[in-house]
Amino acid sequence: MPTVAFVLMGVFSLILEATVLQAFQVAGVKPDLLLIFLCFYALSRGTWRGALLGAIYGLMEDIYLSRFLGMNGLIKMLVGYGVGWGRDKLNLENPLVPVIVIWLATVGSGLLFLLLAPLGGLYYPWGLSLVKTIFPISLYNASLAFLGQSLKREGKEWLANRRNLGG
Amino acid sequence: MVAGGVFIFLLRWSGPVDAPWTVVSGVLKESVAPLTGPLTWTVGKLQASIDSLLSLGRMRAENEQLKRQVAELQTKLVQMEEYHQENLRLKQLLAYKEATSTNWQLKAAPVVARSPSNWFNTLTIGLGSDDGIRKDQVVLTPAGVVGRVIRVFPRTAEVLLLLDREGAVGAMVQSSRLLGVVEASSDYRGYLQMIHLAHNAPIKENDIVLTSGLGGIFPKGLPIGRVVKILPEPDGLMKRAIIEPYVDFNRLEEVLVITQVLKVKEDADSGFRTYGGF
Repeated sequence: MPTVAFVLMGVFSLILEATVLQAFQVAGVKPDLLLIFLCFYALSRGTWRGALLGAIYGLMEDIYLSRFLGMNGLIKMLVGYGVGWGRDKLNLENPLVPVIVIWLATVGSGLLFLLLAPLGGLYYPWGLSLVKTIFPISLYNASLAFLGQSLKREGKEWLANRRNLGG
Repeated sequence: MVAGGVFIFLLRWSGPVDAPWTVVSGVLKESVAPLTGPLTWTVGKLQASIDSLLSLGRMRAENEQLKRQVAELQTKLVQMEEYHQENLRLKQLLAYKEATSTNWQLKAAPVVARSPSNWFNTLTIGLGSDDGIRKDQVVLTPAGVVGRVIRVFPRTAEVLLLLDREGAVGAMVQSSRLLGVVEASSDYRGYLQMIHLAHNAPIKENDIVLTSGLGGIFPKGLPIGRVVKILPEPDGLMKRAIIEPYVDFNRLEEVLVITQVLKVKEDADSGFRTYGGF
């Protein structure tokens, strides 16, 4: 999928997060769709392109939020770079690997937020934020990633079967 | 001639319905009835089947049309219910607006979006500077305070909710007039907390918490929520009160913005007492 498509998906995800996903909160949190797409992109394109899309996604979020411009840009850029680093080192054939990567990336991005928030004058309690916000989001993201992976695999198999039948 | 004569004779003889010869006819009918019954039924069914087959195309079209009509009606029903609910909410807002018209001017605004982030609690309303919305105007519902306007664009405005880490508000307990600061609770998601209260401060469960008017943004006396729990701070000198907000922040669809304060609401008892670090 081309990078432009991922950027457009990011815009669409941001709109979804600001509207529809409010109704799909679990344990008081909603999923970070941008982070999920970023991880899938970085795993397929590597460090630098992962970092680039991360910066784009993060800045989009910052501009929309109009608060602490650059915070999400920095966080998502680092996450994109970090996840992209795993492209050549992880067995991506295993469908569980992206799910675990997304879980770790969400936890990492949450910890980075807690680390950077004091720069903007915001102090969140680490322990409570981990338990009440970061872990629920990471589980939500990982579940969605697992669902997405399964749907993708099923879809591929279905297409292959159809082609075989047609041939 | 002979045959004609016989027939005329028979006609004259068999005239009445209950003539004796009908017994013969009855016997005949009874004896063939087991055969004629199923035969008539089969012919009937066959005819119905043929009719059905012939009208299948028409029935299919009719079925499609009915399905479309049902779908349209269902959509209309849902829409009607939505209008009904909206009407009830707007009536409530209007009643509140009229009841408080001597205190302040209000503008009803639809909620058009929420913060996409899990870390910040803001919402976007569908009114902006073109509609007279200004920074720091107070946003509320008939149930209680929602927050304040922090950013204004021509047609939309961003509202910082009380649930945000930066959404703290000066508050007081209605019964004891105890003053304090209410902010988002970090351990009770969706709840607020009144902080820095001395360990002997007069506050108890079910106490009603209102805005104090201190701070200059929120008018005095707006309902915030109800105390549900009192928790001692680890140092033993202070305590905090967990407050359940009156506003359901997850279900906000329309809000009211105070565009002008006409008269500050005065409580009967204005003897404030301060406790703790306030």
